[in-house]
Amino acid sequence: MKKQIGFALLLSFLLTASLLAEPSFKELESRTRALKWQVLQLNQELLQLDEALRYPQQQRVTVFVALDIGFFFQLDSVQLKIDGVAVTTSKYSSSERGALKKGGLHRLYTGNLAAGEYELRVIFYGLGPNNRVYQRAATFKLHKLEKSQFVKVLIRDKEPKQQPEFVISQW
Amino acid sequence: MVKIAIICLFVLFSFSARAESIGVNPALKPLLEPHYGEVLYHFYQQDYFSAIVKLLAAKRQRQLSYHETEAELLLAGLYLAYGLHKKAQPIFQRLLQGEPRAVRNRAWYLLAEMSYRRNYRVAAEVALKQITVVSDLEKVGSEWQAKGRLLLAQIQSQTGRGKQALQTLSGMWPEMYARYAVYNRAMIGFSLKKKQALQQLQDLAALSVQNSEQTALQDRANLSLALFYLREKNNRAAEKALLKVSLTGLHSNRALLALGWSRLHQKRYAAALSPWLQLSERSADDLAVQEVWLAIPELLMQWQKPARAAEYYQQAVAHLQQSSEQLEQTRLLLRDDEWLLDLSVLAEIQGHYGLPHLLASHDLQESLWDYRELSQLEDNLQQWRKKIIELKEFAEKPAEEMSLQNLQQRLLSISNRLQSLLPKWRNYVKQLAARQLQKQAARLQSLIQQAKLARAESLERVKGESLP
Repeated sequence: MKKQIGFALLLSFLLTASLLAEPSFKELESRTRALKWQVLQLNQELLQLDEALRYPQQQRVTVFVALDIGFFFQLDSVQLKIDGVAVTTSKYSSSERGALKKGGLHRLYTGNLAAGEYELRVIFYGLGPNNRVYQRAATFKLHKLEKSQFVKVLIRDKEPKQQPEFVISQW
Repeated sequence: MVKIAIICLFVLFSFSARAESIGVNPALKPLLEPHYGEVLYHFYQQDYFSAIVKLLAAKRQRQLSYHETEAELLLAGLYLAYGLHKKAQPIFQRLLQGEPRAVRNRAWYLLAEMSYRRNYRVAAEVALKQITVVSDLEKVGSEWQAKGRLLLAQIQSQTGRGKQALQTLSGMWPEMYARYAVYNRAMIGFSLKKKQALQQLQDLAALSVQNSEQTALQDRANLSLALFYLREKNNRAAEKALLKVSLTGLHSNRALLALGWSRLHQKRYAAALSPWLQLSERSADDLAVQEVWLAIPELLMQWQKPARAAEYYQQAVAHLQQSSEQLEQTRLLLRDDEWLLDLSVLAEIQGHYGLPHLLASHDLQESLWDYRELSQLEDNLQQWRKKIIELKEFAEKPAEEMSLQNLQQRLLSISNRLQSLLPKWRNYVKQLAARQLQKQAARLQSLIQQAKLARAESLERVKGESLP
């Protein structure tokens, strides 16, 4: 009997000790990795559902900004107007500009448009040749169909004129 | 195509720093799918979390076909950078089959290096085993094989397999890595084949150097040789080796300290004092500098100059007490939680004694990194928590409502687990920091006691000498 009590006490002591013990680095890291993976998956599913609910395929239009070289223009910000109404403005940090220069695409806008004709006007602000303040606009007629469509806003260098060029096209 | 993607990815995995800039070159392949470009936008900003999420979503919605293979490799790279090496490994395994050996070697090495950095030695070794066998045809093997062999030997040596490590380091090497292989072979070989190891270090120390890397390695070889000679009481040989160590290099403090000892053991007091006085002026954060504060008066005692020794002991006590007070300031500052998340707070307390050692600790860096990533995930979940409520207004079909509800429940469950894990990390990091500072404090206190006792002895000697 005494032995049994002694064993039970020892067991309860060990149990308490293991509950109070601080987790090791490996244990914490393994739990962290598992959580990271779960959060990644959850984000991916939420992102998809968010997009599907807010922007149904038939109406969805997405505008991306791309930069090709960008020697003659340092992008500061961009404003997008659809049929004269400003729908979004984006200001770029140096790391965002860097990402654009390397070939990344910035999602400037995602919205809903019914099928039909629209005028997309993009106004670019930044520094042009010789570091002068520079503002230009480019316009694009979008023929929106009943499906998801992508528009590309490209800023590129026009070598012969030593000037930037702004081109909007459908992807 | 895969080769190009890997060449691009290779820059990502050159982890001299974890968040090093990444250099995929889009010009190698025109960008045809906007979703891939969007992933790259996050990737180039080192926002690995968003890049992975966007990439997973694009893959699931079949928005990547033209860029499918490089997107897969990019995903593997992103997993690695985000600390999910187990997710990366099967992708590498699958995509690298049939690729040229050079491409495979590079990718496996990078995977191994990342695993090793995260303390997953077995995983690192498994990856390295894919590349480290150099065939007779290859003779010396490639750069990546050489790096792989060095890393494999390091792991083998750290896990008590010295003989295996020596075996890994034997054979021919590309010229650029040959000296490292010799040095490592000598260091591992000291406990197994002392005579051979010594000869290897001597040969290495005698080679001419052409760049700063080779100089640093030669300094290390000379210092190791000198420490060996000092243990063998061959002070002249030690001195000769130490005089070859650069005075401004990484190993200069330890070399100056050892140089003083080698001369003191020869009873050349003035000659020994010179490097020590030079060393005593350097940053107090270096243990060699603290040691020399006590070594100088010890030398003066042996030189029969107890009065001057007492002065230097007094100075040592003052220096050490100042360091101890600064260490206490550091300890107090680190008690708050603020520094755990904000690097700029750490930058402000950089000047404090003890911090450079603490921040250089691999364990602390890794733990802090995990803690910060977890905190960012908490912010992310908070944002989604609000967004889900907004999204409910858009859900019209029962299936959509159900999906939202499921996701909300999952979010809450993950969030709860995350909430319980965060304080554990916080405690872990703070305890780790506190333990390390405590060790430093105990060391300083011990040195202070030593200096005080020695000063008392030197004062006794002064008294004794002044008696008629």
